[in-house]
Amino acid sequence: MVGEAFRALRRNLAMTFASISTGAVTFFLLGMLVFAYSFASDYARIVPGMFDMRVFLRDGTSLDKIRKSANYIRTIPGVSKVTLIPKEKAWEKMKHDQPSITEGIDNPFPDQLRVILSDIRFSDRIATQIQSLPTVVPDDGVHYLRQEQRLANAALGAFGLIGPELFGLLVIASWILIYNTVRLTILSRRVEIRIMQLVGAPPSMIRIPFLIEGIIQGFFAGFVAALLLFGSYAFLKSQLMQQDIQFAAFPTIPTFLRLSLLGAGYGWACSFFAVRAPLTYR
Amino acid sequence: MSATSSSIEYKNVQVEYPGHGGGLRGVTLSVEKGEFMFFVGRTGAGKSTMLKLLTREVHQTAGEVRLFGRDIGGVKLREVPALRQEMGIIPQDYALLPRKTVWENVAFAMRAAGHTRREVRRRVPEILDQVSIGHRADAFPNQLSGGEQQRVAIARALINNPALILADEPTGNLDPDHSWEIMEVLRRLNLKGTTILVASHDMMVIHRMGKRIVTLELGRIVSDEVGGSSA
Repeated sequence: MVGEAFRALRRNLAMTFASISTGAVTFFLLGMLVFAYSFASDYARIVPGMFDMRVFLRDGTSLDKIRKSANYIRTIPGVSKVTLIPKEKAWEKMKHDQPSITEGIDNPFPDQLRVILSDIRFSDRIATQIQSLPTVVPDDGVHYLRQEQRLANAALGAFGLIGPELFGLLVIASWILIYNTVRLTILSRRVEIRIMQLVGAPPSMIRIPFLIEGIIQGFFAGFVAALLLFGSYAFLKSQLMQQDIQFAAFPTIPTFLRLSLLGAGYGWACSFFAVRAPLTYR
Repeated sequence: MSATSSSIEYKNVQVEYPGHGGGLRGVTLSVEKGEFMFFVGRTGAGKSTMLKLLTREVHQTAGEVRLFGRDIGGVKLREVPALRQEMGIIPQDYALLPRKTVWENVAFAMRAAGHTRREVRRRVPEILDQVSIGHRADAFPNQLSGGEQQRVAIARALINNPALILADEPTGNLDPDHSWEIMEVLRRLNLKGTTILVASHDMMVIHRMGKRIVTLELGRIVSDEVGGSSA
């Protein structure tokens, strides 16, 4: 029956091509979305670490008060880690990094706390809370990349909001496309079906070849989509590496396996529903 | 040949097509085993409906249809394939696969009906010879005349050794010479004991055949004659 299915696919080459290419584009878009999600979630994990806060403490604040302030900051929701950077240590580093501009001057740094956030959505509120502490330099004691954090926050929020809807729409669109393709295949083979019904072919004999064809088409659509993803990834990587942006390795085998199997399953499901009504004996 | 008794009975059968006229209005008729019968009448008179009741493409709204002693009305949808294997159906438009040869067209139908490859190899040449088309086994449908194409359709109807053949306008697309050829093929099959029911409006050929003619008009039988005399 698999051989018959391949022969049938070869006979209806134009329709087969339409079906596989439609499916491939759909799965490619789905794959891109999954990768974008994965990239965004990785990014979301590292963003709080990238956007830390610097809290400048008043001159002469005792170590005990610093410790109490640090402990208090740790209890604020959205704060992941608080580290003390003594002014001597900060100055040492500055002198090491910039010897020409630090030579001959006194240490201008106050003691600092480095605050790493676990959720950048709360950065403004956290900054206000920290600013209100008596140990913090008044007015401008908390430094952080306010605009950048807001932008990143908005981008992640928008992606989280739009992503699932877009994913759902693509799934529905691909369903309609593959379903219609199978229906068109059935239409293009209505004489065959009619003959089978005239001579009393068992319903399974009529349906199974279409189901197998659906599986084959879906499998190849998934495989081609994986190839397209692989190519797109390689292209993007070559472009972004020039800008010093690091990319995780492409999961070649899992991507090819998952997309091909997903395609096969999807092709089967679409065929199953597409053949129900038109192949009913009449 | 099938061992079942080939008698058909229509008892006060009514068929209504929702939304439009046509159908049947209380038809009662009996067909004996080995008969050759024509249904004639104008378009919409009910000729094709008489055949479709037997293939279960149409279901009566009242009355009873019996085939080989079995009530067709009680046949479930899943039993239709087995029912169709007891008969040979010849459609007016031949319904041949254009990209398959004559041999492959018949072989495809046999495989679809569940016959083994060995059976196909053994029986296809026999069947093609039975309808005198064996010499064109390797030809494609577009290389055949209308009469030859119809003979392939008849050959396909024989794959299950049916005791009954139903032909819906088998000469509808043919000139008189080819129409007569087809009727001769059907006559030969009838002589071997196969019951033949033909829906047709080709009166010239029908009268020449000298067989039973049932005339339908607006869903009713208005005459039932054999060779020109009342049955």
